[in-house]
Amino acid sequence: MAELLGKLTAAMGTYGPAVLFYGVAGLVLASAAYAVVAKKIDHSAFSLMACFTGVAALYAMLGSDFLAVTQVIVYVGGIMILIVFGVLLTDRLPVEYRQISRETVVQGLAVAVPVMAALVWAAAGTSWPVVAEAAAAAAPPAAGGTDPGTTAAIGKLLLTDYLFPFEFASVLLLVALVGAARMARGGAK
Amino acid sequence: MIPLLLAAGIGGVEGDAPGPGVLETIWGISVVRGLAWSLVAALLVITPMALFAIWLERRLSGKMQARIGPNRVGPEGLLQTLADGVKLLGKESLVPTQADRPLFHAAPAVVFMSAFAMYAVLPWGPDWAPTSLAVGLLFVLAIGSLEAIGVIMAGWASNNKWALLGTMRVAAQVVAYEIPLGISALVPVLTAGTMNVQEITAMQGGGAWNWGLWWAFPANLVAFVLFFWAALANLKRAPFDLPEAESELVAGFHTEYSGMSFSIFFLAEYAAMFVLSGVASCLWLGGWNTGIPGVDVAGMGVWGNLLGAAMVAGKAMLLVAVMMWLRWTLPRLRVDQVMRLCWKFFLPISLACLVWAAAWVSVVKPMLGGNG
Amino acid sequence: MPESPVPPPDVYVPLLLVVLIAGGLAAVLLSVSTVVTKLTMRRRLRSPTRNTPYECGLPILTDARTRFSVKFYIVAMLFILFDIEVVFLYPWAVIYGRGDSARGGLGLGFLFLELLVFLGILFLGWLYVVRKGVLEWQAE
Repeated sequence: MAELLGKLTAAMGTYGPAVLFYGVAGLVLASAAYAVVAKKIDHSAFSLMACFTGVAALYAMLGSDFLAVTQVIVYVGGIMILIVFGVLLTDRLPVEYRQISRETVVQGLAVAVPVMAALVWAAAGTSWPVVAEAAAAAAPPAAGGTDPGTTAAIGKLLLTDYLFPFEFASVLLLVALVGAARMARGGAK
Repeated sequence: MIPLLLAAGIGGVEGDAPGPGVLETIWGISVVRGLAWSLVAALLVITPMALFAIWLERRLSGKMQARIGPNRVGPEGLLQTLADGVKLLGKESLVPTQADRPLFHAAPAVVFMSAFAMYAVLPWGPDWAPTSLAVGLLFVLAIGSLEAIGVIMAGWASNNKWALLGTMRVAAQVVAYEIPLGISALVPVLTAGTMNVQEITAMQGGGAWNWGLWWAFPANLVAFVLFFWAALANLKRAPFDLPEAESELVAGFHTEYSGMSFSIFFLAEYAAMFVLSGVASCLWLGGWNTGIPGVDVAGMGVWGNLLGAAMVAGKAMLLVAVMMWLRWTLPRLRVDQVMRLCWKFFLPISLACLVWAAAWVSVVKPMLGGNG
Repeated sequence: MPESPVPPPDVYVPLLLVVLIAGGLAAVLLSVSTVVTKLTMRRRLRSPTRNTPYECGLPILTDARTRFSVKFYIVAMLFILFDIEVVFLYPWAVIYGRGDSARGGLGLGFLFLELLVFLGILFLGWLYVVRKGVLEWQAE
């Protein structure tokens, strides 16, 4: 019994991370694909939610804990609700709305291929240990816990090297707020 | 963000382990241990806590309305909820013909899993925390929004006017109050310098005057009150219960749910009440600390952890009881009042707390010389 | 283990397991309920009205999913904007609250100033939104 348990433990240790990774990656790909081909717009939306959550799980598996929770908060919490409201605000949408034609495929590819290329290019051009180094450089937590996380490292970078983008983000948010207010009230009057 | 996934995901998972065997062994052991712990937690802690909270709600409501409440099944009626659960097992779950079946069935599971997931970061004792997630507090907020999505899913899938109206209110309310919730939770983070709930709790040892409540006075005191109210709104509890206002919306988002799928929503609601109260008590009320100088839970081994767990459960249940008390005390707010309260009062007040706490950390804390 | 991209398992594995067990519990409860209902009900009632959405006793004429007020959409938009602000503030707060050594040479005063600038700009936006009356639910 103990031997079996030991073997099981060892097997989980060896294959666990990989199984987890491919499982979550499969979920992400499947839900993304379903979001594209689903016949109903609400199924697309909620499938996209599963995709976002899966991506967050991938971030967490890479040790990017802060990014993972941010992904859930902003995309699942915010964007998803915006999408649902958007669907509800749309005028009498037919339930089966999806029409895949040659034109839509071409249009979709015209957008997707450059984006994909840019992402691959960016990924290939980055030296990846940068994340781990930043995390290692971050000071240990106050109470000496086991998982320092990446938040402090991100905070430090935000407040030194990326100070301008950090403050500029608030300007960007200000512009967006004003825009939203104009659209909401100014446009109606 | 995505490039990181592309490159590091594939490169990182397969290689780079420091020395063969070590990490693998840790993974394996932690999976087995984690499985055992989570099973124990889910079956012996989370579900009983939710069942107890439901019993408490019914008994307290009874007391407040000068009636008795359930007192027949088990001592003081404690097993009433369990009996109801067994009864609900035999009730048919109806699915309306116009409902979206897959979403309709998935929604209770999403809500239930989200409510349970929050327990992962709730520390029960100095050595008893399911995980010590560095982003613990943000994780609670993130899962809170996931739960809201589950609720929206339920209301949307039902294809019922009442459910949909309730859903829209839930979405707007939960989303709006997530902001003050997040900012008020920032105040203890700011004073403690960590988001790890366990670490924040560990800093509140000693007397009750060391509790987070008194840090950066009065910023954390106000933040605690704001967090509690924002949590009420998040949980759709009175006086923010307009998403399920029974007099106008039948039952809100779960109007169409019956039998076991309804009771899963019900259980999740009380589980979420308890866990959010638990998080609040860990941030501001000392969590597993007793608050009595000299009685240090951290040095007492298993018994200390047990005492700590009792402290967390007691404090959280106290907050849950306050939520129930408020339900029979305050009238329901209107939608416009709910929104105005959030954007015009909670948001600026929580920001003011934040600035005050920041000023306190940079001016008063160095003068005191201590760790707050 | 920050030097390894593989996350510390102690942190995420219990999390995953709690979620899976919760899902399993929900699935078990639902399927037990289905089985019990199948066994105990002598006769499954079938009628077209039984499974209609709950209404006030009237036949359903329209789909429930009609258009909603744009106000909900605005709340969601405002939420995303403020939410991103909150998310940005968390790393700042973690850095700010740590000891001097952990701050890595960043002065508290400097960090405080950064907060004030960040919040100040957003406060302007909030003020604009309030003045515009966007947050007035009743104003049409």
